[in-house]
Amino acid sequence: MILHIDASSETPVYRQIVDGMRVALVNGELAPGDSLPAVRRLALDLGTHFNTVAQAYRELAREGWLDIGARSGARVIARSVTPSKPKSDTSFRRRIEEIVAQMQAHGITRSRLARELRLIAQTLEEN
Amino acid sequence: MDIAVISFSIVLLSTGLSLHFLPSYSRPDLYFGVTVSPELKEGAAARQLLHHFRVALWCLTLSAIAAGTVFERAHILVAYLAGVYATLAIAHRNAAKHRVDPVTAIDIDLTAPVERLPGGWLAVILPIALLFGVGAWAISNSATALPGAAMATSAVMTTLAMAGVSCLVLTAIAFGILHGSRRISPPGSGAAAERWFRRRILLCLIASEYFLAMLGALSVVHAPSVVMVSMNCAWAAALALCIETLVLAGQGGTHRASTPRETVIGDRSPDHCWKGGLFYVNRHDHALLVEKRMGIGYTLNFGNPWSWLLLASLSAIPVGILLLRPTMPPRVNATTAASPGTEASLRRYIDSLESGQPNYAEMSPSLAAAVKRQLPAIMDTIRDVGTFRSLTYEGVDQNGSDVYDALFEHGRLEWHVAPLAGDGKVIERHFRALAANTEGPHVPLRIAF
Repeated sequence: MILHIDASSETPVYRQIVDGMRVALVNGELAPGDSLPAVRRLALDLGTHFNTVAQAYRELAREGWLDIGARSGARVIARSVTPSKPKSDTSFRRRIEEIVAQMQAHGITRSRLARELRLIAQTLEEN
Repeated sequence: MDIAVISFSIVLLSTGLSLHFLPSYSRPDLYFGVTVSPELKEGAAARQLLHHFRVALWCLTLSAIAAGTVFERAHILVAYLAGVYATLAIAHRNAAKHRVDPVTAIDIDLTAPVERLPGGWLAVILPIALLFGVGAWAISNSATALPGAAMATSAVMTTLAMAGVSCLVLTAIAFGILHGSRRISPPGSGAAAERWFRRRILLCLIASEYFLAMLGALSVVHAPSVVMVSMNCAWAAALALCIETLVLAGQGGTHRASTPRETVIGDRSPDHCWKGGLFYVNRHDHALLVEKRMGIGYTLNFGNPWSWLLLASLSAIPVGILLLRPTMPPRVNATTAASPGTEASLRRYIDSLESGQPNYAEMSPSLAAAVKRQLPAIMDTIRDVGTFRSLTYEGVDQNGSDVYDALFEHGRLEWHVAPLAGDGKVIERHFRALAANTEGPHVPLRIAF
């Protein structure tokens, strides 16, 4: 499972780690029982501070994806999914719109955005 | 020609040859320590830069070899190394004109296999355990009840301690590579090649550790020369093969035939942190060791405080051992009487050397073995100093050995004889040559039995 991080991106590195890992967790590329790289090892390879990776792991643990042990490192656990509430649906839609607007501001055309979103939707439905 | 001059010349020629091919070992997107486009190396600008570097290098090398036949070689060596650094720094500065920004995007394979030491931690601990075992055996086999054994014990402990420290240094480097260095290549065949490269380096370190441990152990137990020579040749051949595969594979395994070109551009470290392309100083990088940008292997991140601590502690240990070991000449207490039988024993020994038949029957087995091993050198010394004339007791040294000044026709030898064992045998004895018929500071020329 490949984690893609861009140090020059406006998105903070820890946020990129969280978002990238969450994609893998949702898609099943990281399954319950899988071990993640140690904080020190991942931080070294990314060229970032240990706290950055630790913060990302803690956030994913708060979301219920990971179990962080002092010696055993971070391990993926089975996560129970609670049904979304109407309020979270609204914020989710707003977030999608914000991302679309951000991509348009970077020069990505509306038609291309629509095509990518359709592909993602298709993948979600197939899975 | 003087053997020292020949050795000096060989060292410089080898250094020049290694540096001649130095730029070839680097990752494809690094040139003289600068991040460049991989296509640059195939262009005319890069070839010209390389040509200038090599011309300067060989002018330096050949000049240093010529100067070494006339001037003090230690000074010439220092000047040569300074010149080499300047040459590399100039090449680095010229290459910087072609610098490109490194790619900031990194792909990490979260499911990559965990890297471990070949053979596990047991493989690196065994050589150190061997040295401890040999030390315990050596101490138990010396006549520990007698004060004279202190000299043998201290020499044994010094040898084993130096070998042990060297093993610890190699272990620390292996640990640093495993847990304190950054992996560079993206997932795929590039990552596989890099894993192979790192594993090969760890194997070299572990093999060197075993060699040093066996060298220390065999020297203490006085193994036959044929065993020492065979072991040295076998190890040298194995190490040469290992290094050759590393060199052919290039830094990070990037030149292996099975490794297709992958987009990397940069080694994840900022160009401006590389001083002269050789020294990496980055306080914001937590890596202890980083891949060298010129050459094969790793170098310390001098911006990491732990690197300085590691360097200081690794330097302090061998320096401390060397400072604490018995130094020559040992202090002599002239007021203490000689141990019974040492003078007569020494006179008989000198007589036996002059007759060409050393009296091994009066020596302990370990001392007899040592004398046999060094006999050609001992006989050369006896022949050089001429006929024995007189023996004068000087006192007792700090290790409890009786010190005698033996005057010969053409020189003087200072003998240190430990108190005899209960059966009258000599367990420890060594000598050094003194400046003939002069007072003043002792000038150690040779130490033997």
